[in-house]
Amino acid sequence: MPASLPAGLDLGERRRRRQALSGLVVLAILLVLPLGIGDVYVRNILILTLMYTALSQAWNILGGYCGQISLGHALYFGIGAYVSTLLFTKFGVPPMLGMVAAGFVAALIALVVSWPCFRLSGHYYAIATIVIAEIVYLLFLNWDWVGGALGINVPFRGESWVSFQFRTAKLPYYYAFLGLAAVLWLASYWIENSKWGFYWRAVKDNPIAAQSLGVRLFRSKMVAAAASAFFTGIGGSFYAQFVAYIDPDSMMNAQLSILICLPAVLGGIGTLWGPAVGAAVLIPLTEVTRSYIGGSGSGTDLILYGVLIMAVATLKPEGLTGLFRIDGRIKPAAAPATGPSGSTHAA
Amino acid sequence: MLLEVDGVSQRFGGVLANQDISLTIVAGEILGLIGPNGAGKTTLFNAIAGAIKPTTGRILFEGRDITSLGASGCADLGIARTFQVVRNFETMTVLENIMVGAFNRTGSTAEAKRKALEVLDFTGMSLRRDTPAADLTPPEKRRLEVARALATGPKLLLLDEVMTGLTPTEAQAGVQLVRDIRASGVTILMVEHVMEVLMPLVDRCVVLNLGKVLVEGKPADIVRHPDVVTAYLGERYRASA
Amino acid sequence: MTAETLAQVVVSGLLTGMIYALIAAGLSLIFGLMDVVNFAHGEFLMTAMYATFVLYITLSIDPLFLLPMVAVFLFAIGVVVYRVLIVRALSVKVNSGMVQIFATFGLGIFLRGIAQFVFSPDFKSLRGTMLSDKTVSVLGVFMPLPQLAASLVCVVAFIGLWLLTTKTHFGRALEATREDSEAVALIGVDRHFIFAMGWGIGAATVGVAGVMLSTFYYISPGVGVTFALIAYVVVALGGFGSLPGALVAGLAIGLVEALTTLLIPPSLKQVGVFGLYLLVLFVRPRGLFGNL
Repeated sequence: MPASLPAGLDLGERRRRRQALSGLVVLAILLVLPLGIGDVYVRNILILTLMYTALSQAWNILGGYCGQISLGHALYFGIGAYVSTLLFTKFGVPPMLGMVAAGFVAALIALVVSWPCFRLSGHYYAIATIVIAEIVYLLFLNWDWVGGALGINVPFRGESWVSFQFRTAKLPYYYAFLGLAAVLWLASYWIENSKWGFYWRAVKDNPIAAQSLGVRLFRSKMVAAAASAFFTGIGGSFYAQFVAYIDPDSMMNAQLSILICLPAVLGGIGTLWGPAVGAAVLIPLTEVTRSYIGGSGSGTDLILYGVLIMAVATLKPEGLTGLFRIDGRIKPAAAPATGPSGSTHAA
Repeated sequence: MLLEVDGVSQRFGGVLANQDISLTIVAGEILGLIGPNGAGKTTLFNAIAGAIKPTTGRILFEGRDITSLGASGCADLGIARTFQVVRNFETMTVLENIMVGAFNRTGSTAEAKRKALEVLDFTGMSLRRDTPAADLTPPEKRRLEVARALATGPKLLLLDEVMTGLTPTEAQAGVQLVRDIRASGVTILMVEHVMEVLMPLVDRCVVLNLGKVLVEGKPADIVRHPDVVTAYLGERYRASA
Repeated sequence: MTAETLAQVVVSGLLTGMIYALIAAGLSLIFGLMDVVNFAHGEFLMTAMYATFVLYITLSIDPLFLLPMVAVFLFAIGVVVYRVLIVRALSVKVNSGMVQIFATFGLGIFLRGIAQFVFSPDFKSLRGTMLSDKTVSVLGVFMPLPQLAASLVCVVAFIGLWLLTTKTHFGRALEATREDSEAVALIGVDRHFIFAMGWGIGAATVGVAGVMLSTFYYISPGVGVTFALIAYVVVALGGFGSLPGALVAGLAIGLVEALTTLLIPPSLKQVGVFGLYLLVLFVRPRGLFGNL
């Protein structure tokens, strides 16, 4: 066999260049977008879309790249919200610092939760995440020190970036969430090309083979869980400041867990653009359905989520980015090639 | 002496798959592990690779006791293996597969890629660099298994029936690759069924039968050994050996 | 606290536990058969409860006599879900485990949404049934008749399930398919048929529990979530795929829950149950009778 290498960059490098370029373009657009939109309602939708992009990207680290499906991720969101809010209201710690603490506490909780759970395989783990999220929810609901069912109001102490409060203009929140989403996008971009990213994909594809190459399954999963929880917790802190009121029902409920993982599932689990694409489709759709087809008590959002999840799971598991070949990740051909054939190049 | 198996027995419930097996592997050699079906080759193979823990006995690698170490621990020490039923990372390209192996020695992606490209070239798979593993032909998948294991920079490479089902041309290429690997300084243990390929290739042979070591020696001697003939072909052929 | 109070609590716990056991049995059956966790299991229960409600309101037949109808209805749902959803989910080449989880997870959400849309989130209850508001007293222990009847029906159903899976030809086919679903094809067993039957039976099982539950428990779109959580704990404790495990664990959980109310305010009664779950998780993940 001739030993000369194929010329030029390998597939991975080409893909990364495309991703970096698209990232810059999208960022540029998003930076100027809100300046052209005056409607508060639309801006709110944008902010929520960015938030769920960020949260879903964080979830994707554990669920998409590492393959451990958490169906109770609202736990970390809520913990993040509570930690920073409690630090702010009870100890006067500015939220900008508080949210870093929130991230670390969430990561710590994730390690504690994951330690017994990662000995379990896929669906056992998913079940455990549901039950544990419920346990903590009930805990917070009945714990007076954190406000119990009544929750905590975040007092307004003047507009500033340090206290991360803005009354008059919501625009700073937009840029804050954009920043968070961008940081997570960068984190995912870095992960995809890092040792951790390779190891996680290996664990997901074939854990036994991965082990034989020196991959520590348990350690890998723990790192993914902690990283995922860290960022989710920070997202929770942001949101707490944004809505200025937290209680278990709004910060830790099961529906939130669905909304955190759904964009990634819809857009494409384990891809760079999946969560963003999924959120961009899902959140506006949810808002529109809610406005036009009955309020939030009508169940139409649940029907929507359910149908989308089932459709993606059974018809197109690679998600929307797979459908439109946006991500450029390689999809194995349907039938194995016989002889040297061109690889299935994505656009 | 690179690897020493010392009195290893493996019991699965009521079945004694390996019984008091002892053997050594000398650095730089190609050792063949053969025997009829059910002899316990795969069990022993997996024990050496760290995938299972022997019920009794010890395994020493470069003097260190690795009996309870586990698969990833063994990989770190320099023992790499392939799988009989190929376990490629299907969603990754050939290069990415090999890089996973290369990451065993480094944390840097650039370094892992450099090493992987080296191994890619060494195993002659350069043209398939960007092919998804799922799109490879079966012999290519096998070769990828080997390449990926090589990328971990092992001292001892364990090959599990890599020659099975190959055409003569493919087998020839396979044999050449094994020779090249040994020439690069890697010791090799091969479990094999395809005798015509194995015998000219290995320096020494260990024959297992019914969970025990039957006989051990040079290929030429093994082939003529009456017990070996009986084990494979039954009593009736013993006389004609 | 008197012996009487204790006896009351214990009996109450066992009655509830029996129902938990049957709900968990359906989940365990499907899982044991094909290694798929039905994340919509709670919503199957909810569907049975709403079906009972609708039939009771429109036909004025007592829930006890609606049992066969609703059980068959749920059986059909189980089969349809298998054929339409699960078969597709299983045939995915990449990340099949993930897809399985999301397929039933999505189904559960969807069913809950439908219930909420059709029936609104308001709690509903069945009034004036044959057994409503009647109590039976045995040796000084009071048992509400609906709960007692529910428990007895669950015992019968459990026995039926046990007989079906161990003593019949079909049960043996079920076991064989569980052990090696590819090999059974070689002896003429259509594994798709077996799997579909498994889903049907699993759904019908939880359907029976649902019918009986609706005679004394509030019906709402979220009721499935509550009981699914308990079912997960029961199966975790008893061991995935084990019917005896579901029984033992179900009764144990019912007892633990009831006994906890002696020590802690009723709003927190899940503490004991969840505490038990965490214990199992940390100490013995595969449960009492299961293999991981």
